[in-house]
Amino acid sequence: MGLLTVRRARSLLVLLFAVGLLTSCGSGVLYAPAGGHATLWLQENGSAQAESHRADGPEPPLRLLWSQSVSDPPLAGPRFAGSLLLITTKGSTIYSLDVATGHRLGKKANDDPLCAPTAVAGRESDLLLLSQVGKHAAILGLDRRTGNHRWKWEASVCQPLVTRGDTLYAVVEGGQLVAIDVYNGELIWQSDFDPAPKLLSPASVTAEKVYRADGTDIVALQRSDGQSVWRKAVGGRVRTRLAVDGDLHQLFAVTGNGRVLALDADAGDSLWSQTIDGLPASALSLTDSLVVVTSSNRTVYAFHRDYGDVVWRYNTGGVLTASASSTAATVFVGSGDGTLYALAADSGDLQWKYDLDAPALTNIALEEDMLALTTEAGTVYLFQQDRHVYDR
Amino acid sequence: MNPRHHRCLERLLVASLLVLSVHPVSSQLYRFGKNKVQYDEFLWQRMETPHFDIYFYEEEAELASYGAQMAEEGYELVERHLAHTVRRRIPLIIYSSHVYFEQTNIIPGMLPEGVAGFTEFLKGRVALPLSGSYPEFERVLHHELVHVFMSDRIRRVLRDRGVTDLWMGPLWFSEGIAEYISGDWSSYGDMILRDAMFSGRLVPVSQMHRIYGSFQMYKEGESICHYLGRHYGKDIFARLLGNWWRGESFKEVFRVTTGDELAELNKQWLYGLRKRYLPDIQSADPPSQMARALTTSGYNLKPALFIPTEVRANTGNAKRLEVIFFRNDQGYTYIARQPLHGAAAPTVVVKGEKAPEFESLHPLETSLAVHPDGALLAFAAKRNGRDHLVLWDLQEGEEVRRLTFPELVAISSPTWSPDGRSLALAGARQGGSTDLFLLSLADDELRSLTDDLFHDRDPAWHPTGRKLVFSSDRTSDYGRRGHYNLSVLDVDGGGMTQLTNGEHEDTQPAWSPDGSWVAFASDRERMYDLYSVAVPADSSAAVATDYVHRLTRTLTGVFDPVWVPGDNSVLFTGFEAGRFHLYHMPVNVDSLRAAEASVRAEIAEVAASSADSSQLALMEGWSLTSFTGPGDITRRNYKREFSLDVAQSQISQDPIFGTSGGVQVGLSDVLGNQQYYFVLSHISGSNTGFFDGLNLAFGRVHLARQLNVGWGLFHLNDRFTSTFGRFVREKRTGGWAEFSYPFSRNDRLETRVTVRHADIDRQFEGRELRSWLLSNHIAYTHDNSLWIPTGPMEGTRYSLGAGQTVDFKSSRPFHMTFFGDYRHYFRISGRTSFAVRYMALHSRGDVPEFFSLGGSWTLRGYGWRSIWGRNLVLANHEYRYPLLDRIVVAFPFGNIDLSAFRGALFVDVGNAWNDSFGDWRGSCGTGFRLALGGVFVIRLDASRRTDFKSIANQTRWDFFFGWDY
Repeated sequence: MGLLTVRRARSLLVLLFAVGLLTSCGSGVLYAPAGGHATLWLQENGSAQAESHRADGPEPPLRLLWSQSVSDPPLAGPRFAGSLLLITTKGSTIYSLDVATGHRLGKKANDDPLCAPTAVAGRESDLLLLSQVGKHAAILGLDRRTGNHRWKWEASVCQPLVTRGDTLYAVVEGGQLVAIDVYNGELIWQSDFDPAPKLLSPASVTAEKVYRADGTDIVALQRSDGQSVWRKAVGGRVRTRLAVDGDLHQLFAVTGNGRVLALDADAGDSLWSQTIDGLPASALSLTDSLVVVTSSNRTVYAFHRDYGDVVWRYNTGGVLTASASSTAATVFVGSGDGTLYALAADSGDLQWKYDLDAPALTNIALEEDMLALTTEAGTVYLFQQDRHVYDR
Repeated sequence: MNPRHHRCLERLLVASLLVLSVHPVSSQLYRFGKNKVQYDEFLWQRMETPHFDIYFYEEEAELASYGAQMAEEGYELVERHLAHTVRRRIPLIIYSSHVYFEQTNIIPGMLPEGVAGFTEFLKGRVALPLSGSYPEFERVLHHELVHVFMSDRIRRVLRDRGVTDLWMGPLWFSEGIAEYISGDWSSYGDMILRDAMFSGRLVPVSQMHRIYGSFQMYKEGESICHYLGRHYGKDIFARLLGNWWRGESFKEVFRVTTGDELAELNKQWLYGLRKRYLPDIQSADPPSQMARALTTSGYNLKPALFIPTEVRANTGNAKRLEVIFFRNDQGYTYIARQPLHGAAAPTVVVKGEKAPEFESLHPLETSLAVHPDGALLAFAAKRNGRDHLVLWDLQEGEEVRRLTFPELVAISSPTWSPDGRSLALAGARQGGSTDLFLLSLADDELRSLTDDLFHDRDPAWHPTGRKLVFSSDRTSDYGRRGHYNLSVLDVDGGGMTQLTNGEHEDTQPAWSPDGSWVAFASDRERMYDLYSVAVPADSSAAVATDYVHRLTRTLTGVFDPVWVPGDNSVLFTGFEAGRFHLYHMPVNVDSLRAAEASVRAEIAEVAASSADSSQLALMEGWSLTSFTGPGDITRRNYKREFSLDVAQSQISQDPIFGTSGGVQVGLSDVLGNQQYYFVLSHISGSNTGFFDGLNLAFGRVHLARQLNVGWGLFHLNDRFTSTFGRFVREKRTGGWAEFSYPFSRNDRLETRVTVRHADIDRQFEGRELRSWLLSNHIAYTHDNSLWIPTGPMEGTRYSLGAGQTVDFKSSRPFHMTFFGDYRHYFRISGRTSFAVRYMALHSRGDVPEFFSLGGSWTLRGYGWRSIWGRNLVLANHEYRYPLLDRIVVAFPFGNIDLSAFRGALFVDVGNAWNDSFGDWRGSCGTGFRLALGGVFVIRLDASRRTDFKSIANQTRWDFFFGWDY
């Protein structure tokens, strides 16, 4: 007990020192050097590979480490960025919270409304990519250390920004898909479609290809130059971000009418299709063996990745608008009924749940042994796997 | 809401609080307007479900339980479609009958019979009645929930994004999406759109305001939403609402969401409609092309045939058949009759909707029936909050009997038995269910023929008088989804057999004169047409399910079939160019006989091969689920909880009066039966200190009973413009009580007592008055006027009354005032009228009231309130006529659409005087009125004075806002 107290006190001092150091640099701290934790983080709607899956993520039961209010409802789910947790709100403000304590370390309000979820890029994760709309519509590249603008690319973008390596892939509102250098904002290539696609959905990127929906078609482009590789008509407008597993050569999507599609990612051939009731969330998530789809009819559907069979389904008490996030053994989902659910990945059985202060309608972020989510009341929750709580 | 419809006491209170100290009290004594009458008092209860607070009364406890389940299911349905959760609890107020629903105080305006439910946006309340059909109740409930979700979603999206300018989008979209989500596309939608297309009345998206609030707008909106769902995916609605913050108009939001212009949507939608409906004309005709029209103007429906007694006695000539039907060609529904053959014009039988005895005739819900001897007409009419069965002598033209039944709230479709001794009818019970009843006229005994939750309607007697055919949603397979089929009821034995079966709406059955066929209206081919079904003589084994023969193939829709005896023809109501008319059409009897022979053979074959005669079995019907969970259902007596209706504040700076500020607050309970109002203001410029400059007024109104009661307290101190336009400084402290008793929708008696301490500084008279004053006023007001957008068009309005104010410490009479105001509107033609107003006011006493004349609302040609006196007489005569129906003014930023541009020619005569009358003052002139958006009217009058010997050369122009008197 004494040792624990000493450890805690020391950690607290270090933390206070770090916080003081960081806050002394200015009130808008959005960056902290990478700590001992892995610096990978899940991007909105999954990573560049569209996986909302971390095999080493936390397993239930979880323990609430802290909760913090950011006042506004979130524009998207939180992002782990090293020792910081970044929250973008619908009030177009970005908050940075200390992962360890939940203390607010930085806050940056954007003058123009933000439309797409904020992305982090750069080899040292030192770039913050914002997309603002309105009179000054543009994608902005910000230096997270200073908060200064590095570059600006004028376009109206509301689909999630996707980065891979040094490249940003964005679907602009005119329908074009653009590849931009994240360091200087210069256009690498642009893919136009005629006629311009309507009802856009974001791009997905693998090592070699970029995938996007074009009306009722799915299109695969060369990642290097944007040239078309294949095009496949799927009979409905794709609502979700495409989930691609480059290794297994599988691509998954859900149309606005609720058709779940599995395609061969290399050639576009159809593998299987299924139907769900209600409106699908903006993304789906993949586990080793499942495609997990959440729907406005309060249901989590788990399909077998290879065959399309319904492995299980689970009814929550509220509307589901965010995709699920999964670990090796658990599927986490936040619901409109104000509850965080942890379901067994193999059976869909409820393992654990937590009552939040408001509906959770944006994505859950996973980081090693931690889970973060934000509710519509603007409260950020950080949970940690129970077994690690006293080891920190 | 149309301002002519409002509660008497409620609006009086608010107005009183604001003007209490502005005018002499007599000017508040009467205001015209129709009354919302609380005929019934209920003991309200509340039930809590996971998402709803459901308000209901004991008599409808079963309905409330079903409604709770439907509400929770609807919540999930709408949540699924819009991907949105409403986090607040939704107040849901349920009424078991439209008659009760019309008495609601949740909103102040009158509720027409066409309103099936509403969502009130200030407190998010949903209110709806059961109209007989549970599936329809469920559909309306889900429709209203779409409004709740949509409103909540938009508010939240805008609030989250910091947008303070709340806008809800075009009505066609909000109603269209509600129709789209709450039910399947109906044959009525096809009928309306197909007719609009072929009659050139289809309105594009950009001009939807032309049909604002109409049924056509609902159906066009629904059709557009179906197109949106098909073209963009069913998630398009959630996307549009999610992007609401990105535009200041629906056009912008649509563009950023879909990438398309609204004009492109309009183009593609219209193209889709043409592709769908234009081919129909190859195989179908409008009613006017296939039958002889009996009527050519107005709306005409629900025909019944009879041979007048006098004709029967003389000749018995079937060619002297007459048609009796509902007609509306002047804004009022009335019952009319005309010969079936020949070209005689309709004549009025019963004037409906003008007198309290016939407040409503329910022309869309019920039908007419004439006694077999042609002497008596039976029909349902609403009076004093419930339906009566009226027997009307057709020869004498007078009401013979009026029957009411305690257990029935609403009555529809009475039908005489062949022997004329009894009537079958459909009646709605207090709990909401609509069943069939048999009324014996010998002893007025009412016997229930059915008693269940199914909606039984349109009974028709077999010529033998032993059985009834009727339309019902009791069919096992289809009824729960809102479909109607025909059944035959053995009146004596009680046995019931199913005549038709299917996913359609089979209604308004009518037996052929020989009793072997039943003609009926049905949408089984997605158009409302007439069909006939063969019925074998033995009704106990007489079910020929779906052995039907199509009699018409109509492009739009036909209803209400009536066999014409001995004439091989049918009479029916046809819908064309947005109107209902009566048509007479011959029936191909040979074709019918051939079909009959084929059908009878088939029936015999089926009967022989079907040992269990499953088709002959009594329908099992369906059931509803009461709400049982999840969680405990809390049910408790209604407890008044008040919440804000209105709160506003204002601060003003005036160079003379200084700074002033004030707040107004209105509170009411969920049912709107109890209302509080507070007014607090302060005149900083007052030199009499803080408390003397304070103005306070408080009022409370009880509206739950037929006698409306209000009371309040006030402390007011200010300078007011008073008689002769001069300032009066007065400090008033006191209280008031008011009682208003509406006898019917048209008549009320109201009285008011005010006790106040008055400290009046009449500076212009150089004297001060300090005393305790007691004022009593009483007024009787009648109003049955029919309005058009610029003012009354037909009917009568009058108010008579008196008021007295005395110093009750000294018994000194302050003043006594008498007043009378009579207005009548003579309908000259469909669109012109002659209006007269005669008004007289007289005040006497130590401090009499003074009245003014002059200006656009009283005596035109004279300055605004330029003639004063304690006596006043005024006579206005005005001819009102139409000039233009619509004016569209084009601006670079869009068009402004103005409606109802009308003219007036007038002669005014009047005077106001004190002791000596002087000369009559007169004027004549012309005026123009323009209705703006249905909320107010611009008036421009050009008038010249006259001394009744000559007319002055000078023209006075008066520009003002307000409806015609």
